[in-house]
Amino acid sequence: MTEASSKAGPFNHPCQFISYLPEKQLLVCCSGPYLLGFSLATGEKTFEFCYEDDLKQKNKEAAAYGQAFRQVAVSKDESRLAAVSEDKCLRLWEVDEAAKVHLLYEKTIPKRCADMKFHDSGDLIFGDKFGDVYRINEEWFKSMSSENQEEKKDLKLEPVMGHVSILTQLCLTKDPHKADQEIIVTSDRDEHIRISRYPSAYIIDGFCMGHEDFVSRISLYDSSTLISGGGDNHVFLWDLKSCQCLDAFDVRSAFANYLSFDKPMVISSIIPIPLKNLIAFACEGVAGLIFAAVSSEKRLTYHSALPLAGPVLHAILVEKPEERIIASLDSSVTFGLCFQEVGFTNEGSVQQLENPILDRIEKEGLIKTETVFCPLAQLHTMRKNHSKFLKSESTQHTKD
Amino acid sequence: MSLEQKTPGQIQREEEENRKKMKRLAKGGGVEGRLPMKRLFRQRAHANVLSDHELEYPRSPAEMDWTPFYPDFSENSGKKVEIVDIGCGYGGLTVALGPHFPDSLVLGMEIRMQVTDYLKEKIQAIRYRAEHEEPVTGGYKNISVLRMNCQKFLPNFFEKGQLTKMFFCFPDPHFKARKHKNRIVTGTLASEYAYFIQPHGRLYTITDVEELHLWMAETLDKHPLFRRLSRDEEAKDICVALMTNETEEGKKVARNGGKKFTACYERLPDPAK
Repeated sequence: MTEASSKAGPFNHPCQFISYLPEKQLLVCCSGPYLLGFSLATGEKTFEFCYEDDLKQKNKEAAAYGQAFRQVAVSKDESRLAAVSEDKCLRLWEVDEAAKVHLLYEKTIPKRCADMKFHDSGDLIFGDKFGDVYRINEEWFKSMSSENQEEKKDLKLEPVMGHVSILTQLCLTKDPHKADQEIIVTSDRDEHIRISRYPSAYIIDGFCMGHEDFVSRISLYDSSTLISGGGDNHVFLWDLKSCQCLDAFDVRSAFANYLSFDKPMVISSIIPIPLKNLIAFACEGVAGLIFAAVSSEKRLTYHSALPLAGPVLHAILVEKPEERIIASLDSSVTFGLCFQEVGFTNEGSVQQLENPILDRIEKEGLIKTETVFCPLAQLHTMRKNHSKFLKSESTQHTKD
Repeated sequence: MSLEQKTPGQIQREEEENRKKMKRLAKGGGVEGRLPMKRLFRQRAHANVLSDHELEYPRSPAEMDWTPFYPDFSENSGKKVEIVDIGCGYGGLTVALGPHFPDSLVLGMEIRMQVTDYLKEKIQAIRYRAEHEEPVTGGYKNISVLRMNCQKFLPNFFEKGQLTKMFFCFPDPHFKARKHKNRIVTGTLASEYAYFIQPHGRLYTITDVEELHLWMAETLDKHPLFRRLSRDEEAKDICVALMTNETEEGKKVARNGGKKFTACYERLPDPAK
């Protein structure tokens, strides 16, 4: 792993979250309090937005949490971009044909947002650190920004569902039992993954039970298979129909070469690559990706490990024109290197790629800084001080 | 780790705990039918449900071994817990339910450790008495108590549709509006309860706080998976009488001449997909 060392002089501020809009070929980066958009076709910067000024004036709380956009969500038609920042402000932009953004609304939500996704209908679904999941739409933004107090009262948010725990992620997908219906999968700090119907989320279809520590990331491998990872040693593959565990993969030993002796591990990104029958995992503070192969019987086996220049903050899959992974690195320890592209060879192995466009973005587009604005690793703070599980001998998990 | 260092307050509490424990041992609660003394198990009435108590729970219901809880129901009988008393406190209702439903396993659940210990010893004692002194239907073999946080860990213990009855007796009222999320019956938790209760199973609430009663009733009334029982139906249900008269809290309210409010519900089947 790269030793922490800060280079004298300004370096590129790392991007704590990245997202890609395939139709518009737009890479959206959350870089501290900046939201940046780059064309992946040319490397040109299409927009830059910063909320720092607001922050100094009116929000003391945000200063304590650091100044950062935590996450962005993109609507299916790529016309809307939502971003949430550490000061609990939810912003909605319109993305135009030229991949530029226009701020439509901004609104503070009551609790800190944990995860958000756009539903195909254009509604925005978000879960907060209080465990509740809400659904809002543009009408809500509109009326909340109006001065009419009466109207605001009518639109008091009612949760569509909730956990009594910190919510960590949510996924929306088709119901594996019936294709014209949908489900919402939510995970929390208390080791639970819940499958509920959507929009009637008061009907719970099941729980995926097996994690021994918080679940930080869930992701869909295909329409009936879920992958989950968190603060424990295994990542799990679940059958969404039966909520049964298909396989558990000891990702800690796969990461063993990268982790210092007893450092606890936290899965920070899960990247399913179904076309290659692979799943990539990133772990908080670790300079590399682990790849696991998925067999046709939905078993996970170790595929390969790919060292990268610095700790991976976030990694996403870009599918067109061919599959590749863009990993965002902690540039405070990589002498300014922010992105690394990973591709797949015909023989089925993974390799680092050179991409002049990403180089251009790094050289010209990113924010130059001397200090990192925001805490980059925070998932591990969810860990509990104890973990005791009652086990009966007959039902030990078999993981090999 | 700095977290393991104890504050003076913690040390003091622990010492107090140990002292009580020694006293309890000297009295021999639970042994040979001697009932534990409640005053040795007092604990403040509230517990923060959102904090991490040092709870033990299985990773999934399949991994739960119930034999220590119901030693006389062998594993092969295939019996599962069917009736749960959430926040059972000193266990008045749990104990009363035992002889009324001798064929069902009844479980009291409570988050406060001392209170759970009290009920454990009490169950030991009454089981012994039922065996050696005056027989009771079922001999209290079908009741037990578990320390746990029901707002968080029900999915670790129970499967879908496993329960026939769920009781919420005299829960913490959490008066402040910002604490309403901590209440035991909320719209979002009701969905979870509905998952565990089988269709046509029942959910019972009782409280002496009218404000809480109205809030719980409003929440459950608008939940699509529950149907409120009419007063007539309530009157016919023996459980309503039991929870009104047999809970420790219910007796206290009656002694002080307080009012009790009940709201009971039937779990409706899931609408078809």
